Formats: sequence, structure tokens, C-alpha cells
Amino acid sequence: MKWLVVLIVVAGLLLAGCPQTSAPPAAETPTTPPPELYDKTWISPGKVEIGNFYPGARAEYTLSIHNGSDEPAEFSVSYRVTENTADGYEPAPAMAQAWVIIADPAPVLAAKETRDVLIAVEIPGDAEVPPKWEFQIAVKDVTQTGMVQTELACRWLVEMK
Amino acid sequence: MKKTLLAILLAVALIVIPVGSALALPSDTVTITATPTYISIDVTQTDFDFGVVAVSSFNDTTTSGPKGVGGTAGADDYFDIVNTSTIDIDIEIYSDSWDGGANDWTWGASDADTGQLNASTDQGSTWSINVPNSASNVLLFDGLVALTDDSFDLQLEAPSSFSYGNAQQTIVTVSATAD
Repeated sequence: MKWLVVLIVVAGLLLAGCPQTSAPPAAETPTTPPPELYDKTWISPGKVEIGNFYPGARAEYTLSIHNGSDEPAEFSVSYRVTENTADGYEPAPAMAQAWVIIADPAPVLAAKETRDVLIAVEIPGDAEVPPKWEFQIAVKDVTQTGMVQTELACRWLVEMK
Repeated sequence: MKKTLLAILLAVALIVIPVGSALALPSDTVTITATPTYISIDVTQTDFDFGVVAVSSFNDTTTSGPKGVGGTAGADDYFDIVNTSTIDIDIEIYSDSWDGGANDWTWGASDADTGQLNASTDQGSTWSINVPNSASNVLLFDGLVALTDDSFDLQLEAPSSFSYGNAQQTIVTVSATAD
């Protein structure tokens, strides 16, 4: 009987000590693209937030690119700095471009294909950076013609520890 | 009795050293968060030909300016951007350099063989947005709501003098990012 009580206490403590699972994503942020985007070119996610970052650390995330056209298309995937940063963030320092690795900067996607491209940021151990800074990964269909062309960009928001 | 005491000690140890701390992230662990959003835009008009322009002239895509050969009479808000994303977005704008074959204009405010494009989001009432040349990009629309559209026009600020008559062209890029 005593053992049963002890087991219940131990089990309770174990359960109480386990981290809580996070809440499911809100309904308005679908985890799969809406069907109406099948014929559109899109990227996902729109924003990547890195927290607790520090010189010498590495972070990576995959950027999904979808070719919505009926023809194969080559895309350019490039690093970009913007003055239009998120609130509280500074533009990435000049040397930051060398810290960003794009696994495939010129993917060719078949019609309606979706492909993941790995993006990594690796800061040298002696780097000096602002507490909160931002860069973008810009994706452009280089087979576009015309005077006005479109580009899609993913914000990378970096907060140092 | 010993077994019971041992079990109690184990329970006390679990209270003093919670399991959560053993499972918690080390202090040097980097966190990465991304919400599954989708960024996508359409532009309903992609071409405009300013035609032959005079020195120091201002030609634009609104009905108020001299209409180029690609323009449609009465078409204010010549370029329309539709936000087909799942979230609100910002639209930034930038341009490539002038391409005139053997003789390119320089990008900048009107000067000898130097010209630029300006943008308006109020049907040409103001042309306060100087479209930058590649090195950076500037904000065109702030917080364009998902599944809505907005429009802009372009103005050519022609050079003050021409040394050569090559036709010039450029590519203007509108870039969508999460708001």
C-alpha cells in the first residue's frame, strides 16, 4: 500500500515537472497553403525569429518556395538588407552577408513544384552586432519579363542574448 | 521501512531538483520561431513605354502626365498590386540600373545623361518616392491587408541633356515582406 502511495506521488511529480506542450497554431495561420495559392508563386514562412543568439552560434531554417506558374522557373534566392525593419530591429551590419549561407541560391522549380531551401546564419565568435537586427532572404522568379517584376522576401529577426 | 524511506527521499529529491530543469534548454540554446504564413503577390500591369522624351521632362503613367505608347488613356493607378498572401504585407520598391546597350544613363536626379524613376501612391499628386537603384529598397506600401490591392504610378525624370540616343530600359522590382 505504501509503495502504491509512493508511486502515485512520484508519478505526479514527474508529470508536474514535464514541460507543457505549446498551444496549437491559431486557425488563421494554416500549416498548409490554402488551395487558392496553388496557382500562385509563394514563399513560406514570411518571418523567422531567432532568439538567444550569440557570436559563435549557428541557426538554420528552411524556406519553402512554390512555383505557381505552368512552366519551369529559375529563382534567385539572395541576402538583402532593408531600412524598413520590424519595430525595435536595426538593419543587419555590413559584414552580416558573409554570415548567411543559402544552400541553393538558384533553384529551378518545375511547374507547381514546392521546394525547401535551407538558410543558415553563423556568426563568428568575435563578431560585434546590435542587440536586435534584421536581414531578409529575397526570392525572385528570374524568368519574369516586363518592366515591373515581383519579389517575395522573408524577414529574419535576430535577437542576441 | 528502508524502502519506504528511500522512496520518500527520492520524492523529496524530485521536488528539490524538478524534472523540468533537467529538460529545460541550456542557457546557450538558440531558439528559432516561424509562423506558417504564405507570402504572395500579383501585379496586374507589368509594362510601360515612355516613348520619346524631351530633355528635363517629367513623364508619368497617370492621366495627368504625357502618356507613353504603352499607356491607356484614363488609367489612373497604372500598376496594381494584389496581396494574395495569408497575412498583411509591406511592399518595397527598387530598380535595376539603366540599360542602354553601349551607352547607359546614370541613375539619379535629372542631370547630363542622368535620370531616374519616381513613384506615387496617390495618383500622381505627389512623387515623393525616389525609386532607389538596387543597392537598397524603400517602402511603397505599409501594411497592405491580406486579399486587398493598392496601386501606384511611375514617373520618368529625364536627363537634362543627352549625349547619345540609345533607348534606355530598366526593371523595377516590387518586393513583398511580412508587415
